[in-house]
Amino acid sequence: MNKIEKLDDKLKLQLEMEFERLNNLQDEMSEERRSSLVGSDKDIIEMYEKLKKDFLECHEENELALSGRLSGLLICVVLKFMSASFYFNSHYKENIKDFEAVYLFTDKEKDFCVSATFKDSKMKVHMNAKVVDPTFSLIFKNDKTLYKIILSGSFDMLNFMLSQDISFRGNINYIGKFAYMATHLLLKLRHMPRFADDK
Amino acid sequence: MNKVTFEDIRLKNYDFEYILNLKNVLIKAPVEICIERALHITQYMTRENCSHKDYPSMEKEPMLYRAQAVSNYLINKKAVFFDDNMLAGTTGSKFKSAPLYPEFIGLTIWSELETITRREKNPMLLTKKEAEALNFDIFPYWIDRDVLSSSKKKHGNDYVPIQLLEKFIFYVSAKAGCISHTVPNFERVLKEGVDEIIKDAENKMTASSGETKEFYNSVITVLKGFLVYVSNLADEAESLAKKEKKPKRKKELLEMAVVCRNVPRKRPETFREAVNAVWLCLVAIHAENMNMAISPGRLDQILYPWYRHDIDNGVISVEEAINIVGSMWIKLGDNVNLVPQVSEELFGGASSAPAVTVGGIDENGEDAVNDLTYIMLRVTEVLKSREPSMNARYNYEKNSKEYRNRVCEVIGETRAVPALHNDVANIKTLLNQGFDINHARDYSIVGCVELSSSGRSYDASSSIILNLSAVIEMALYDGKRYITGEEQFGPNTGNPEAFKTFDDFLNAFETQLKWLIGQAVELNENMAKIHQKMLPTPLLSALFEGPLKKGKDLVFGGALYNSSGATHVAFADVVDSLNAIKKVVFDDKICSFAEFIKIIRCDFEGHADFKKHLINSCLKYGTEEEIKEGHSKYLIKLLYDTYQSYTNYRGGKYRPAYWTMTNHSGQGKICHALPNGREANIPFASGITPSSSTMASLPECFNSVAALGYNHIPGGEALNIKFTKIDSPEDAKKMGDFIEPYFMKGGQQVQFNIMSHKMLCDAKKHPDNYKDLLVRVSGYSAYFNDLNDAMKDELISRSEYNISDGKKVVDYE
Repeated sequence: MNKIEKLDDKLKLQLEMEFERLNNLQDEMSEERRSSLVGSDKDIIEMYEKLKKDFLECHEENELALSGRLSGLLICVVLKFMSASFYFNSHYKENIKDFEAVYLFTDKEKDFCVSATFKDSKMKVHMNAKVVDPTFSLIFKNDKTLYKIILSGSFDMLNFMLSQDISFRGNINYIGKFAYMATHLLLKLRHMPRFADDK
Repeated sequence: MNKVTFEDIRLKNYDFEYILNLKNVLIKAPVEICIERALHITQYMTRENCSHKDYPSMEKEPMLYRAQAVSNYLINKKAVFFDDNMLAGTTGSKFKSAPLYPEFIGLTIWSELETITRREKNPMLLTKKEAEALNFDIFPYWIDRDVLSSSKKKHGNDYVPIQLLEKFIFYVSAKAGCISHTVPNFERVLKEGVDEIIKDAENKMTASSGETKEFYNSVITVLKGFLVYVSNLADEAESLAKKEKKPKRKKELLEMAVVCRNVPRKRPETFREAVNAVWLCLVAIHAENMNMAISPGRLDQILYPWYRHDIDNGVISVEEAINIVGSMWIKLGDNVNLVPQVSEELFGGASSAPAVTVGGIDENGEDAVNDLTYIMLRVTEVLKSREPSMNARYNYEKNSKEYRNRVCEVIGETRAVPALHNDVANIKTLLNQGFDINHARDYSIVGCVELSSSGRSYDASSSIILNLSAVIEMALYDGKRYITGEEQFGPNTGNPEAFKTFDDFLNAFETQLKWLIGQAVELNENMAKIHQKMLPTPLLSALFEGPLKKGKDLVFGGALYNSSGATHVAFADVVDSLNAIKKVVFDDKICSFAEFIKIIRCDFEGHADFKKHLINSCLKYGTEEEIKEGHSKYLIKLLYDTYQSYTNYRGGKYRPAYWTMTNHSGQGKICHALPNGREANIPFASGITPSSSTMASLPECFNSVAALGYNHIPGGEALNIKFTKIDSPEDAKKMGDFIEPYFMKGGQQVQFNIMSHKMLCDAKKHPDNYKDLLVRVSGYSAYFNDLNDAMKDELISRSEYNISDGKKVVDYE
């Protein structure tokens, strides 16, 4: 096994563990425990930062290590962070109150298909999803584009569309809403000022 | 009759402190997103049970709903007074507002709600409360209801015209954002007042039924809302006056209250009232229509009777008139377009482009230049502000050289404005489009450079922005574009390697062009149906010639004249590419088509000499030789014939135009190499301007643009010329002398930047030293610092001419 494959496997294992951890956290946590965490994203922030650090280390070591087989898993974990944030933060959860939509994240070759379903104020994430009629499909040009977007920390999807890094099917407003929710999380994680009246 | 009484048309000896103070306050103010309109319109729609996803259902009188929603906003709109401006009324609730229109493209900033305040380019302030109102209350209502979503819902995801639009690299269909782009008719408000228009509509409503009755009812509804807003302004001015300590401001506020009690309800009695009435009409129009190129038009003509009356009767002095005009110029800059980050790439630095037109001839064909023309030129010269988008008509048969040279002096002093328009050619091209002679003579400029008979023709002049580089690429790559790889868009026109003659390639090019135009036109027509269903414009219709008489809203063809405009990006690059292919592959047979395409695909890497040959040895648009033997006239005619073969949903023709705003930079940045030797990701030439690699002298450049033929350019053109400096009356005269033959040969328009390569490089390097450097982009004016880097580089690299001999400056200092 060459170096790249080793890195690939290391990261894959990590991603799978994170995914499992997030799943368990949501599934097993009692309502009481969840309520005590409402308004605090501490756990999520810590998990996200750890994952990002590991991910960046691998990325810096060798960009090629991020091969196609990881893409689905990576986006799945990122979406899981968002899903968990809805779970823990009631204010953030307001975003998906009465919101029904199915998003599909895929690439041109359909190497990965990840869905995010919003229903009943919950967000559910599925790998290898077979969605017949998604509300919105975001199609990444290739793996590199996916990493570029995730690592850039910018969800200015329109700009990525202009440069043809991503394409889509569906109502463009839905990606606006999704990108808002992602940006909100990211800015909060980074403790960055967001508004004109922020100090 | 000579309407110029000034001995000194330069108006040097007046005090401009008041208007300069107003400008300084405005320039320093940040842009703030104004959600007031969005909030009121959305609340009304929700309250009135317009909650079904398919709103509006046809049986619910959608026109009246729209009128009531707009009226509701006007009634509840905050009456605010921010600065010392003597005119009452504001576009938004913020001092410098970026109003949000959720029915159109307001939702495109959704992803940026928490970053737009701090984005690098043209940030716009938004508070947490406002962002939350947008995210939780306003945007969710419109997520499936704005123009593009409604259109998509109707036609489905596989509808090709929308797919092309959403790729961004084929065309822009402005109807997703607005129609706007027009010059309203203020004359009826000025001659009769809004009360009389309401009475007229009431009488007509009594005698009508069905949709016509609904139209008149809608007009009455919105106009009444408009009057409530103005009455609220009067109340607020009186209330503020009571609290005001400074006697001067107190007096001003009380005067504004009086003005608002009188106009626009009744006919204005003074110049100040007339100006304020026009401004209030613009505020009201923007309550209904997005703030994009709603243009005041020929203000020196429509306001002149009030000016003359007040001056002759000692009601005001010239200095007071200057202050009133200056106040209007500042007011026109109280709003900017709300655009997402991505639009900064395509339309960066744009204002709302309210175009004012001065000079030219009157409806009887006589010299229309008057004292007010010179006041407006002087105010423009002093303020050097982005708004209004200033345009001077020049009729070489009727206007004086003194006027022409004065306009050139103002351009020299401001470095960028006004743009100059050729009356003779423009009137002829409008006549060719079927305008009555008096109406053609009374034309105004819309937004950038588009031609419109003031208050009579509803031109939707920015309906389509078509990227011609997409066409040549699709002809080269059998219906595909380089940037999107193997994705098939256009028809299969064959692999050029198999083409035996240049005509084979031209056939492929024409097929792709006609196909793309067909898609853009189809989308425009279909989106127009959404506008008719959801977004009629009763308020704008009331301020237009035609709709009240016909009993028909503007969007249904109520205006006296109708058309749809289509402008084009990359004209010069595509013409030069056609010339290069013909010469290299078919005439000189320097290489095969297959080899040529291979070299383009690799962006000329390893083929520097070949690239040089393409640039230096092939026919270049902008030279006299090209006009005789090249493809510029061919392409102009092909586009004209193709567009004119379509009739729009209002019964008018499609009119091709050539202005690009900053699209030539944005689209150039993402387009691969082209056959003319242009490398990948380099901005295209702007508007109708030849490529900067063309080494022609200024007269040659002028001759070649003039030779294109004005009749084939009915939508207007933007020719960008850069002079190193114009710093004396003699230079201004020389500038006029260069322009005169260009106009006599048929050139329609020219706009200037008076700045050197060195100065622009310095401005890019030291933005703080050039805070309000005004530049002419391709159509509109912008502040240099507001532009993205690619657009700045494009301005820097534009051909620069020496005023003394008209030769191109080659060796920069």
